[in-house]
Amino acid sequence: MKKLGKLTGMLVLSFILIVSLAACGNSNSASSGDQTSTKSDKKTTITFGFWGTAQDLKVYQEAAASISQKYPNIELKIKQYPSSDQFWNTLPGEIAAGVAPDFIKITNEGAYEYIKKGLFTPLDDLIKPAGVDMSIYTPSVTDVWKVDGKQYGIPNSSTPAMFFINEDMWKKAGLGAYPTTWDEVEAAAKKLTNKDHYGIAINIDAYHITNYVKSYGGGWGNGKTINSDQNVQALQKIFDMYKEGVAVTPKSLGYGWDGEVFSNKKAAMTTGGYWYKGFLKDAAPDLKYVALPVPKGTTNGSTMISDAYVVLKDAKDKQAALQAAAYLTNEKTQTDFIKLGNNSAVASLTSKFFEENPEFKAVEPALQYSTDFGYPEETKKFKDELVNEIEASVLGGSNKSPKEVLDGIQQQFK
Amino acid sequence: MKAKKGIFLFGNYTLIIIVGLLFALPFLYTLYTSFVTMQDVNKIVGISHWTFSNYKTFFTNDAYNVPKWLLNTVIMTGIVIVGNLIINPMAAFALAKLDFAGKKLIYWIVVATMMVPYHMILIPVYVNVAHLGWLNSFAGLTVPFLYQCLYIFMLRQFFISVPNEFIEAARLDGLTKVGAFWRIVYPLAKSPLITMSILAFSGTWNSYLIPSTLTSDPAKYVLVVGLNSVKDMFFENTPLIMAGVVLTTIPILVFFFIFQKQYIEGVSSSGVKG
Amino acid sequence: MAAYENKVNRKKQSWIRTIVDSDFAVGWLFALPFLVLWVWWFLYPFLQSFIRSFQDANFASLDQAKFIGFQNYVNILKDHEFYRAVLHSLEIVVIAVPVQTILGLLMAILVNQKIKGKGIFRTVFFIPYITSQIAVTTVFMMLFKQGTFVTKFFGLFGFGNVTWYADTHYALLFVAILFIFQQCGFSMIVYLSALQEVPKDLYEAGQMDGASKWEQFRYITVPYVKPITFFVVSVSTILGFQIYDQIAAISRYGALGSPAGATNTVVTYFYQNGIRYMNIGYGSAAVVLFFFIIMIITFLQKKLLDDKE
Repeated sequence: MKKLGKLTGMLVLSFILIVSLAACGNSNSASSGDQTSTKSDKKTTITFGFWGTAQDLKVYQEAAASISQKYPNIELKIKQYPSSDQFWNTLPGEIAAGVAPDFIKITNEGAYEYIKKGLFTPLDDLIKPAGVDMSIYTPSVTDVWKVDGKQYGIPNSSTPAMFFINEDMWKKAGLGAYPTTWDEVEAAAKKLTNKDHYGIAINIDAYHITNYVKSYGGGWGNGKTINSDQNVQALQKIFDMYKEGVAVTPKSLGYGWDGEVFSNKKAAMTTGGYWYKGFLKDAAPDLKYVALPVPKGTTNGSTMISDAYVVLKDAKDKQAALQAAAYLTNEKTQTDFIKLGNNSAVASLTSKFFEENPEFKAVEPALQYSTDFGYPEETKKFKDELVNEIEASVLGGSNKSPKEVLDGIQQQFK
Repeated sequence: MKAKKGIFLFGNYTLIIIVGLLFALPFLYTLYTSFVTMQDVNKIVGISHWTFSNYKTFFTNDAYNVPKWLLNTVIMTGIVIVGNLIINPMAAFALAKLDFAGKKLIYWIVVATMMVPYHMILIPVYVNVAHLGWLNSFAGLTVPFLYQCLYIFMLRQFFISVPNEFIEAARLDGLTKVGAFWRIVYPLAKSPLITMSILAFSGTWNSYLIPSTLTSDPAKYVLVVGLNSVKDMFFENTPLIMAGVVLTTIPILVFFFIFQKQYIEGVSSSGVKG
Repeated sequence: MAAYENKVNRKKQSWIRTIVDSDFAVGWLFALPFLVLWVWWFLYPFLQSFIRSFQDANFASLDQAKFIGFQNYVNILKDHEFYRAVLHSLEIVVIAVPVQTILGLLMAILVNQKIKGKGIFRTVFFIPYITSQIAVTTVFMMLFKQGTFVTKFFGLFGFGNVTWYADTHYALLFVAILFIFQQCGFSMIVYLSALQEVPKDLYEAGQMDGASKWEQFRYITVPYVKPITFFVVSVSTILGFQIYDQIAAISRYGALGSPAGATNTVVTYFYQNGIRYMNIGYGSAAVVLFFFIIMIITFLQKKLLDDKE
């Protein structure tokens, strides 16, 4: 019994020790993050938040190390988040506690919602005093980041959506020229469907659906044209291919996304994007594929994927944040990104992208006509609704027609 | 008689092994996947195709400081467990064996707290931690979690079955109630305390949501957060993720294997004499 | 502390000791560390969120949140998706809680026998509980695909040969099975320590009276672990209501609650509205409602199972 008394004593003692140790460790880190001390030597600390790969981090760290050459008074800190979900979970707390980053990198797939909710600073009044030259970026990409006539982002990259075909399957089926319209795709899909694989993977996901819609001259119009005739027509094509049994969604095969279906050779065609290159290199190095522009429905149309640097509305020194953001589009940093497979938004560097990534050459014309996603203000809700309704029809057997599906969604987003 | 026993034993073992295999299956698959390349995911390939490259990625890339993350995890888990071993049993004892005004209130506080999803209070907790200057520190990762209502509730249920005679006997020996708790009840509760330690260990070791919210400095990451930050942007590198799962799970398995041996039967009836 | 160092049996007790050693003083003293931490790290944050439930609060501008009374609550109670989510949560709990409680007890008894290698078996039975939910879910997703031996096996009992988590009829059951699989280990280890507390002489006495194994189980084990059964049942109920990770994993690339909202539960409803759609006030109100639902259920469970007091 005595032993146990001692044991509990030890337990309490070690506990106090550990807690005090923890408190010490903390006081160190608190002082190093102190921002008033950095101000005294006349440097402004700007924090840049992003989520991405270790390679991306390395590129940014190099840029942070060299920023003093152009802006001697700016110290750039890089804050990496484990994932985008994690970033959005943490951000409200960070804003409330005053420790949010000054500017972040974000893609245009979800940005509209945040812009409309007032999370970012309009840059128009800052661009001149900060000495940033907006004319170096591809104009169509700069426009993606304009909302209600105001510029919200410094574009970093821009790549059109793509359409991928498994070359071996295509040749084995004895098919000739690659398809340029969805009707040709549908016909080919019938020939490409057999017991081993489907003709086409159609991921029931907003990104992919949007590309179909745009190729029929449609679009979401930020919520105004959800049930337009063109959109109905595009969705009809998707439903047709499912009904004919030539299309499959990754989920019913047990895969997470379209790329996995493609790399596992369970579908001969799919809509996708530039990330396929990096993925297929690891997941299916022996697979031969071709990348094409998104096929036509009635016209040329597809989405432009672009990411940009946006300044948060609570940034302390907005001008310095903008300067730091613009610095990240310098030639060296952008060239590093091109090597990692991202097309630069800087117009003069675009040709370099197609030199580095010749397999994407066929997609170059799509740069001209690809446009923003145009989701409604409640973007996430819209995407969820769209996916749920189409899943209910395709997987759940609700058997709603495309018109009914889109009319139903339109009603919720007036 | 012997033959019958033999059949029983055989059936017994068969049952355990079948159930055991079923339960081990996901982990075995995880282990398997952690040794293949991305092109072999979802396929069964022979041992000649196996590779250590997924593990190598974690230990050879400068950007990933796995030993440091491991150390952080050990410190965080250690502090939380020790705190839980002190604070929870005390509160549980008060709820199970003492009779005082306000006890019912505390009981329902414990029960009600369990029902709130942590997500709901995460943002205010974050602000709390930030105002104390505890972001990226062990204090922030541990102090809010030194108690767990789940375990207070569990220990209360265990303490209820401790016979009151033990406590009365101790008091006749001149112990105060505080003394009776620490010297008699606490040692008697060895099994439940082990259970609590095992659960608290795995819960803290595996936790992702809270540490990933409260730390942003890679040097302060714990293992799960660190390993999760090692993934590619547009697709998931499944073998790499699975290797991370194996690296996080194995310490818990070792901890469990060591501590489950401490379950010793029948303490309640004989313990009073010892 | 000094009091019990004194081993001498003193008959004379000072009035100070009477006060200090009263149930009231010791009770509050023992609860104090917990209560202090709780007030600062739970109650205060919780009240902040609670206040939000009466506000129209968008997370980008929390400082400009408007007070709107009970409007959030009214809107939720008007939303048929909310009732659907509550129903889904209840379904999971009704299926999963009894199964995993009974399985947990049986598993604990299995590995509490005097057999060789029980340490290994205990560890193996515990593995699902500690393996990351993503990994377990991934494996189950492979097993419950159309045409696998598992799906065919279930087909013998009248289940359709479909990919379970992609089918609106089976997805919820799939989640419940996942939950049972992972939660069994938890029940097992709690019961395992409870079994250590059952006095051995009770079994010996039972054997002398010629009680069969089943009778020993029914009349000794089950009553003795009853307080723990109450714990296991109420905790699994709460955790069952809070299932999130498994659902997030099966809808990893799609909308939460996929397919087509078939696995939407109260917690995903909160998560989707409060965090994903950034309407913190609305989400908080959903949690408050959710809180009352479980509170009522737990209260009923206490009345039914915890009659010890």
